[in-house]
Amino acid sequence: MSLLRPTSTESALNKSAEVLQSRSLTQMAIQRFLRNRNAIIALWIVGILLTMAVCAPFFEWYTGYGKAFQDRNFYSGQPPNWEARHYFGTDQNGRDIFVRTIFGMRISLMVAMVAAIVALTVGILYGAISGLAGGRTDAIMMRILDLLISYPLTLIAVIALAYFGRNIFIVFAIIGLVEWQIMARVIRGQVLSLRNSEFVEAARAMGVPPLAILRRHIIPNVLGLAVVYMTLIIPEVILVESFLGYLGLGVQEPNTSLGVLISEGAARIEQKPWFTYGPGFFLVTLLLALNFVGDGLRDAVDPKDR
Amino acid sequence: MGFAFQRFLQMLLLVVIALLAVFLTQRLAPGGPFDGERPPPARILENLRAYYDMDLSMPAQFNAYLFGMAGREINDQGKFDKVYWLSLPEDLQRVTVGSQAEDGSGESLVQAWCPWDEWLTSFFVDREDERPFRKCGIVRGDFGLSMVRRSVYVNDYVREGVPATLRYAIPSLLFALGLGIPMGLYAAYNKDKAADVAMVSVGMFGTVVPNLVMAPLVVLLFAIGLDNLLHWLFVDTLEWIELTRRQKRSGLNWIPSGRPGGIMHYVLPTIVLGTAILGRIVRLTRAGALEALNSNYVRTARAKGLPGRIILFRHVFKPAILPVVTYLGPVAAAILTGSLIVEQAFALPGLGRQFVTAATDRDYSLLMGTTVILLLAIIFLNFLVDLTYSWLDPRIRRSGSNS
Repeated sequence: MSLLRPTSTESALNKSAEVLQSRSLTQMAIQRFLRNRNAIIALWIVGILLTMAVCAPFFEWYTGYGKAFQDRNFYSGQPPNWEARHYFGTDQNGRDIFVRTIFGMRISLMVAMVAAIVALTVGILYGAISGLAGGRTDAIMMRILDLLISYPLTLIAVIALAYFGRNIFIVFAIIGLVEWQIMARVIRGQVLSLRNSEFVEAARAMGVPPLAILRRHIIPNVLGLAVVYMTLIIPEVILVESFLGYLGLGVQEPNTSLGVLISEGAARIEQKPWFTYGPGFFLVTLLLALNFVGDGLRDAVDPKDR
Repeated sequence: MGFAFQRFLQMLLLVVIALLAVFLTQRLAPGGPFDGERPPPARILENLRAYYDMDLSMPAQFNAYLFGMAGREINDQGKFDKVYWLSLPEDLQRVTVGSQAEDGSGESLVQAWCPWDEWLTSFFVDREDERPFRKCGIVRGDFGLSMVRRSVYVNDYVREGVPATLRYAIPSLLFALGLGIPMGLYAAYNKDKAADVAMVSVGMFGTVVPNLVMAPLVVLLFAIGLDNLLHWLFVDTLEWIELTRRQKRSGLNWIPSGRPGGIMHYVLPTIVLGTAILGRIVRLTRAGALEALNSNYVRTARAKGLPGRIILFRHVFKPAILPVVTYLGPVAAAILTGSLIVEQAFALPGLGRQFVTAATDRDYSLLMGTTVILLLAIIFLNFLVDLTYSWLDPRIRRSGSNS
């Protein structure tokens, strides 16, 4: 019997060998992510919100109210009215708050993505240079990073936006420059471990020039981790953007963002609370969902972190 | 100590760099403090710029801002001319700009007030009549005149703003620590039970809901909702409350929604700022406490038969709050950044509000002044955190003295 049937340890070994053969690291990460129920629900919510943001003009058409259309019958802020298709009510100028919220979310997401890419670029560059240079340069760069992390860069961003905030591209860049430090630190750690790995040493021994090593071996290996951390940066960036919008900086009329809408509502919260309900709900849902997705991705890629 | 002090000096250097960045941003950006809807005539503008020394070169302006200047000469046309940096020649006639001679002749001097000089020398000599500087620079504690409200010193803004900010910033920190650390410990002690899940999700809620949503939410719940509830509960049934209060239909206003005033006015700002930090503190305490609870020495203590409460306070508490202490540096930054929102939302006259208005009004000197104060507050708090940490965890002290 025992000769014919493999023992339980043997079958386990066979199974694990099968697993090792059939799945790459990425597949395992994806599997881990798919098993995380919270993250999957959050991903669905993010997907829905993203679709809504992309299809914002559809809601203009559906409700019949353009984002800048001032409804004379609902002037100076009326509460939600389903028959008139003002789902979140109207604002001080008779504009539909629902449509404006969707457009605000669109701008917020757009700013967040571009700013996150800026943060990604700066973080990768800083981290890669620091990790590759090593020695004294590395120590100094890390010390500067340490100091910057406990510095409120948002304050500097407030100043910069107050002076240069007319141009939306400058807004992207400035917001991106607030949130790159964590990314730089993570990338540097990854680059340090890659630098001492066998395949990089082999490449170096073969005489591949340093820039080619950076391009061929380091950056592709770092990119996956960087993208995961970018999903963690996006909610932070949305937060910074809405913070600046609340202070009246950044996105300007006729465009709007969630922060701007909430600041308009917060000023009249005692008389017209529905100004804040919609934008506040969308902002909190978006942040919550993005946080769950980011955490899930990080846990899937980097499970030892927990 | 050595480690903390070294870091303090490095951060001080960063403050100077930040100041330089702010200065350059202001001077390179279009627009200025003097062009409003109706810009002043060219000659007045020129005089204004000279009054604030904006006719000098940029390095000279920055130098004057940092280290001050002794005075400026007035030339034959009655314009500001030569700069005396450290001291004035003895034979110059000293006039303040306001009381200049009729024919415009004579050298001129705007007297400045050097708070720190005055404070330092007040113990030894009386220097009432001798004010040697036109500008003292921030090294002597003088932030200069505001450029938009031209008769107000930035020092006065700061003296008003700092206490107004501290009045809710310190309570919010105490609120977050006093609630967060027990919550974290409790959650760790009851790991994976309902209490744990509840504590962690309360913390998560605090971190995810940003200040700017929390502020209106809290106003709705406490200032309006609670008020209506109390009104509905008491006033309608017991009319004598209404009679004694003599506030028909205006509500009790038990917790007011901001504006400076008595203690109750600072309840909502404290809650808003506190909950933003609370979540992180709960999570950090919980993680630290869990690690300690799984350690060998706790198992030994338990084997000795010590009751859970004593283990928690004697063995788990210290390692649990260590990560919280390191996090206090970013907390300081978060509170000061959050103060911009909170002061806007609750109409409080603090530093954050002055900072934002200075940035939007292009009030150069006020913006520089408030930036310096905010950054100094942060580096001072970081210094305190470093000291506390090296006191709590001696390993840091040793590694610091080695480097």
